[in-house]
Amino acid sequence: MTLDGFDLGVGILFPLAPDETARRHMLAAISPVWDGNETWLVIAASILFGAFPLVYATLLSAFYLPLIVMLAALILRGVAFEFRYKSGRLRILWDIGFAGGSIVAGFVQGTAVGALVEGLAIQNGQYVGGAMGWLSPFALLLAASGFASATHCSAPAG
Amino acid sequence: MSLDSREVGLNRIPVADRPPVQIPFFAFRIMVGVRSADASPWRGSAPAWVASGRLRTAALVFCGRPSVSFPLGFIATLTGWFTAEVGRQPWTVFGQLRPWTQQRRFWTTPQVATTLVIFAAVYALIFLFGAVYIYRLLRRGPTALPPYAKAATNPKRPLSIAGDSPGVSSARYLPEPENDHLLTCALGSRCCCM
Repeated sequence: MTLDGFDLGVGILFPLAPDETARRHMLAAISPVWDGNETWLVIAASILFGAFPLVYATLLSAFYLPLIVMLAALILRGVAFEFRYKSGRLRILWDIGFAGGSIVAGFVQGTAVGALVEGLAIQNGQYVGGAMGWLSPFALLLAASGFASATHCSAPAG
Repeated sequence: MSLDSREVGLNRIPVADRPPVQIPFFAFRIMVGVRSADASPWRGSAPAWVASGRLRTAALVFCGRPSVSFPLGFIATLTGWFTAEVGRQPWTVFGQLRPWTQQRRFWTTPQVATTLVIFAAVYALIFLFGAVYIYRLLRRGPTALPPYAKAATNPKRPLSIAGDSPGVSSARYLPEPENDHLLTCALGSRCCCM
């Protein structure tokens, strides 16, 4: 989240841009780094899988729905990043995809950190919290503060 | 190594351990069929037509068809994937893990159905628009790109070369005298004439 915050923040602030020139400046600012930032996510997952399979299994069980939603959001975000320049009338669709994907990804990362800080329901080494065990007021609060820090990080770019 | 070992067929495997046969059967044949159609003799004979001066025919063979046949490679990839994944059933990890025993306490049917719908929706959106985009590029045919500063493109992002893209705007194209005048097709290899 720390690494990805800058370009997620740009995505969250994206709908506030006054015109197309500003939007292009915002995208140009993150274009050299945004895909690299997301590579860290892949590396983190691979390290967990290889080195800490128990953590990997517990995290995927606890955050199955939000993580898949985040993956979908990141896919949409990455595709929108390239497609918006190739489309004419439907550019607004890709802009929504880019901003929406950033917001959802930031939200999931924030709530996941919140749920981890709060602690997961684990019995005998297995997660028992259910599909929505990650959702709590504290996690939502942390997601909101994550938004604030992400947009703060990227404010100069916007 | 032995020359007379028994080839174990599906009928020697217990019924409970057999995969559903229909999906791999048809998926495999579609995959092979698509590839065979792609490499069919009439397409392979195009260089001979070029040699005999029938450029127009050669151009049609190479350029006329990709505008409708470009999804074939993707279809072959998918059906090959179906063959491998369904053919491996009923194992998630062969000999180790059954699909119905893994993580059953967490991955309930509603959860899995939800994520399936999510993936289907996202992929439908992306591949629909991607196919329309590729189709339009192929219909338009190759066009001369304005010269661009190589430093302004990103090799990790092939789409950045096909025109405007984040950080690669027409404002950063080189001035005219440095123009290579390369006739470049945005999609590269397949359509190289017309």
